[in-house]
Amino acid sequence: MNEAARLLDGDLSAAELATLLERLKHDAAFRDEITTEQLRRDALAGLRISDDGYSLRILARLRELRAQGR
Amino acid sequence: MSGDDPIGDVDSALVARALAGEEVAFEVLVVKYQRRVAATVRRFVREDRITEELTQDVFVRVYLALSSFDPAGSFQAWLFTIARNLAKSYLRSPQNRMDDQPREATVEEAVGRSHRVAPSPEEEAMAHQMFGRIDAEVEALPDIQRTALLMREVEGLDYGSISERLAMPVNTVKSHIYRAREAVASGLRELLGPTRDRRW
Repeated sequence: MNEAARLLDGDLSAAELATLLERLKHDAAFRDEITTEQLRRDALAGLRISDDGYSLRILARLRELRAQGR
Repeated sequence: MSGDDPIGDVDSALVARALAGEEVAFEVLVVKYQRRVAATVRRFVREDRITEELTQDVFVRVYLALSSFDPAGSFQAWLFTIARNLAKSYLRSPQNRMDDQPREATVEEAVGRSHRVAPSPEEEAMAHQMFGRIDAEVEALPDIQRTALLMREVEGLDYGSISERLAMPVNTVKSHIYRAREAVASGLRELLGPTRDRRW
């Protein structure tokens, strides 16, 4: 089964989760698979909102927060 | 539970890993829930800019309060409670209610893009094309694949329940859903390729 779907569903073991999270740190294509999979799911559920940098701006806020030591 | 058992509640597992310092685990939660949080906030406020600011605030608040999350509870319920409370709290201020009026973005907002401004015609066309493509791909699926996919992702049924309803083994259900997901996602990948720099 698609690994992005398994991660979002929790259809994997703790060891597999650890492996996939490690992979996400340096594999941009896999991060994109997760993003695309979630976009598809949200669209099917009626949430017709494209990403358009939304996630990146949230993550940038969180990075600022961490840089401030919080 | 052995190391090979499915973790089940993946959100709680991701929270535990985020608390252990694995930032990417929290990033997955952001990508997973940002649209649903924005849609929740949007039920309370009208302006795109305020919706995005509050959506960011929700994730900041959740991140800072992560250690108080009860892993026996539902992360999703906790997250949406915070989103609703934050939006209601924002609207308690008369000044904020005044600010929450749809308007044109300022030049600084448009240039800095620290939050969403009104989508450009190109972005709107892209979104229209993308969601049209998803509808067309779902429509084109064989009946059994479409039914299994919608049961799973719109009705939220687990594989066991779908297996009972469709009178077929769980592995067959998984296989139909896998093929359906792949068919829809392949069209999306093609469309999304040029906008890679705007995504996680």
